[in-house]
Amino acid sequence: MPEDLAIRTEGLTKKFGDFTAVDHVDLEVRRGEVFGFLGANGSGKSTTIRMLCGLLAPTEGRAEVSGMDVREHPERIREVIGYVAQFFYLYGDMTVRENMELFGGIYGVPEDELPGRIDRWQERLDLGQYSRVLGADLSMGMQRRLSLACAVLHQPRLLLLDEPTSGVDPLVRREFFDVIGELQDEGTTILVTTHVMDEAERCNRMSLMDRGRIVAVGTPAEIKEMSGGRIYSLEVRDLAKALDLLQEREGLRQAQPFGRQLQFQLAQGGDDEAEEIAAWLRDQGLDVDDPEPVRPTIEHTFLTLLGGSGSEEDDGQ
Amino acid sequence: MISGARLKRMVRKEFRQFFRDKMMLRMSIMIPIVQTLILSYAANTDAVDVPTVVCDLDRTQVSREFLASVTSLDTFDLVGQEVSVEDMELALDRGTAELALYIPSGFSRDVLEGDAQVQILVNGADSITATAASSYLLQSAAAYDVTVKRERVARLGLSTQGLPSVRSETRVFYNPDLRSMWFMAPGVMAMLLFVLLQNFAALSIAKEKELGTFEQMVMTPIRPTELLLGKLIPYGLIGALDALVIGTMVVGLLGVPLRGSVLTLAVALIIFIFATLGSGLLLSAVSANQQQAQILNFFLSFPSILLSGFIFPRENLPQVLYWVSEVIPMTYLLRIIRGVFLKGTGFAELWLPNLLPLTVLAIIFFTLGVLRFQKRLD
Repeated sequence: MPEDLAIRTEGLTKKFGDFTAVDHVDLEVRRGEVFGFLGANGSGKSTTIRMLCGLLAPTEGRAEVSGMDVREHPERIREVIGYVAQFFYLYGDMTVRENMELFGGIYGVPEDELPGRIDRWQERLDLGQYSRVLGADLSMGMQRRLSLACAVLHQPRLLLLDEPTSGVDPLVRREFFDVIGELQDEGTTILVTTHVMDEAERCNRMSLMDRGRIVAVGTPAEIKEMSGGRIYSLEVRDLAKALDLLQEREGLRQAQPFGRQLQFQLAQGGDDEAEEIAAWLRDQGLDVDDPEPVRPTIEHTFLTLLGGSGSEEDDGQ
Repeated sequence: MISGARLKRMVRKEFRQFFRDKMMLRMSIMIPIVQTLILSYAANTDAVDVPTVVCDLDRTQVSREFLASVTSLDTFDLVGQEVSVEDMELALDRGTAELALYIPSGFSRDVLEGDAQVQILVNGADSITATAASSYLLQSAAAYDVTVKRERVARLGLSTQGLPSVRSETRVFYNPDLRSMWFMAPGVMAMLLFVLLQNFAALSIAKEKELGTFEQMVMTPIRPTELLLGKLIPYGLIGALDALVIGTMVVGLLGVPLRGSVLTLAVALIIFIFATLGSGLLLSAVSANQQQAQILNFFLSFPSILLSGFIFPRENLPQVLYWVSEVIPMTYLLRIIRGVFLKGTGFAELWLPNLLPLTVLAIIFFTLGVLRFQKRLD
């Protein structure tokens, strides 16, 4: 494994009975990058992460974390990983500081260094005044910060963040990503699963997972390019009816509401074809403005590549 | 392989959580105290004040004499005298009497002729009381029999000296008055420790699975052995404290003699606590949540109580169940604890037949727990 890779998988596969949760995944995460791990719920993200931590044995293929095979050295791998779960999975009946002492201790932070590190992280994440507050009594945002603090005390080489900002306000979210940026500057590799697209924008590179397969890998700019046809936005009064009509029409990749507007993506062509669609909608008796071109986002690629197939079920555990 | 630092953190965590959980605290202190008192008094198989009716159809001097000598014991509480046959049966049916003594007419004549019969009717629905009470009645009837014969012989002017007779005298060792309290209280101690600790252990990991903290824990480099020992050590200490409290009550308050060595008892209890926590943690490791753990614990606790000899003698068990009872830690602890308390049995005699198997079981349960508790989610 080359020195500059934090994670490398080859043909990594996990089957639960007949169900293939992860299907021949080849993934390379470079040392020191923030890597976005995108995909709908149930696409196999969590299963992949669990295999990377040695909690699930791969059915096929191999995976290395920090140069160590996940089958051979699961405990040593867990020593260099920090994990922030999707929910508050720390001890609600212990205080902020007690939780940090526990996890710092378990991760092997030397006794004499631990108090200093806890102080620093409490200050850095504004947890200082909550030091003696029980985990269960913290606000959701504070619980998130505590989860992060407990995961970084041992200065992990790889930080895994599972939907780190679900359910928190934008301020906490921004702060969170600021800290992630700082950790990256200090040399930590970060793997973050998310389905919030503006979080994905802040990643150096990302992968898109669908039904157990990686369907796209690249920088945010590269991912946006993959969206295919051009995208337009329309102001329309009867949004529901317009959507219904467009479902029938050929030459469209996708159409969906976007706020009070309607966005559609052309299979091919540009402004003329878009005008044609607007005119056709007017013929159907709808009150429609002129179409405006829209810059493609990651979400567009997401929708194009997944073709609306993302299931809502959780990972098959 | 085990890191002292990690283990220390885990033990401290468990203690913290234990002392913050008011319910757990109450359970581990109040339950042993209250239950020791209730169970030791309730689990009483002595027959005292058994409601008894007498149907005396003879109504002679002789029958009254017989009755007086037979029913003078504390065992019987005469709730009806000289009732009719119908009323006697009704009393048994209704449960106002557990025992009935029927004296047929002509009893006094038969006594003189040397072939008198009386009938004892017992309520077999409560077989413990019935057996105890009817055996007392039989004993006193036999005693009356001897007395009458001796009187007759004396009246004939003969010496009773050379009268042929065999008297079997029973001497009960270790518990001369056959007080069931002495027999039950040490068993209650074993059972309370078992129920309390197995429950604590069974819920512990299941609770973490339910709260999700387990998911966070498995992501850390902590080893299964450290995690299990981290729970076992604090619970074991709490169990030892409970054993001390219950033991003190059994001796000090209930007056059960502790004839053997306290040290032997302590060693046995510590091994038993270890075995019970081991089996509890194993239950916890195979359960997905607290409810599952509790139901499993519930069903597996019954055999421990019923097959271990706590209530019924193991000798009466069918062969298969007898074998099952051999892998129940309670079986060994009961033998040890009763032996040490009442007989003063020493370490040397207990080691091979009881302490060793108990130790082996403890090691097996803990090892199975560690093995089952691999940090794998599949």
